[in-house]
Amino acid sequence: MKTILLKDFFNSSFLISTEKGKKLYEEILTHFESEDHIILDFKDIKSTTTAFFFAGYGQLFLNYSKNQIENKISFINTKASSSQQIETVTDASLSFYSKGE
Amino acid sequence: MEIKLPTHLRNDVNSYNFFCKMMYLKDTFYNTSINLNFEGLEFIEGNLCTVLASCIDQLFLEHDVTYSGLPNKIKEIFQRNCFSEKLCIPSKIDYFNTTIKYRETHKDDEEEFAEYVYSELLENQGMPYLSEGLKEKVNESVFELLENAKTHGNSERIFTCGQYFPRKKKLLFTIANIGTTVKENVIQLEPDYDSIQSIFWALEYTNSTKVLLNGLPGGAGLSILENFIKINSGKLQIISDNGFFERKFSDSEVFCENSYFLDYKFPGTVITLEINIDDGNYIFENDDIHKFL
Repeated sequence: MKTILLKDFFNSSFLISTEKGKKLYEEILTHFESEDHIILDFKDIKSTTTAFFFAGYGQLFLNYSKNQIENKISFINTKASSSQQIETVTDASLSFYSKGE
Repeated sequence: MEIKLPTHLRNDVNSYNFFCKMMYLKDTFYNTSINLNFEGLEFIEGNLCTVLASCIDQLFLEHDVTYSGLPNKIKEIFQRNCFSEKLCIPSKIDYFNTTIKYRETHKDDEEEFAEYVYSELLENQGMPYLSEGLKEKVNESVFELLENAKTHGNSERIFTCGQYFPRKKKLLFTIANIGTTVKENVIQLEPDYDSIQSIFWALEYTNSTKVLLNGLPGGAGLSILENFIKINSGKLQIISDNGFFERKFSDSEVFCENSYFLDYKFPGTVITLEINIDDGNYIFENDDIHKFL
């Protein structure tokens, strides 16, 4: 199991940009096949955006199914707005890539 | 050349026509001296300092710019929201606590911008109590705006400023940038769209001109923002290119909507949020309702 403490990974409490999202996406990809589970820990993260989640998470739906992704990745310590953003990005990415269950 | 400021600068079409004409004049003359005459200016809504600043910056690029006739009342407003520093006048402490300071942020200074948002908007002791739910939505909206301006506007710098109206219980916050307009981005996908149609397009859920793998939209910033303003019964105003658009909500429905073509083009984008901060509009599902009992 791999835990990514995002505050430490980015050395920041603000996950706003597409660039940071892309960095997270690359990190997730390096562990996706080798780890049985990846935990994204949002402890002490103050702000996030859909731009960050589209780049960091939404792109996974191109190559993996919703089941594969949700069985592999979990989010902890997210604020309510971040959880809503993840939901928005999941729905939009699934719909876009047409890879729903 | 002298540019006289009008008597009133409000968040309306007339004022934006003035700003856009200023930008037009900038391009019609080459390397000249321009004096901004503030003498007749009697009133300015504080958030418009962002637009004024972006116009002044553009003028400075190609011309010698001076200013004159700044009335004391206006000077006082500029000093309290720190816009005065752009005119080389020292700022003053805002004892009324009604301003959200004018700020220029480099596009990559995410941390600096965050510090500003927290100190001016979210943790400002002088501001009225904002529920945690509302704070979180304001926080989310402002950062979506930042990312939007940075990515779609291709802007180096972003101008922000705001005003708090205690009696009306509302908050105005504006983010402006000079750069690629909404229309210039959207016509890459929809070549026949005018500036207003382009704004409508950009407000649609998951419509984005920023794309990721296999064309996945890169954000949903504006639609998320609009959704929050809708729940809040607030107002969203977008000016980009020669498009002026505003939509006001009441009880989660569109209350009124206006769109106009401006006389000249604004070479960037200005987004203003009008947020209600009275009890009826800022208690969100996850808030601790007991606070209000």
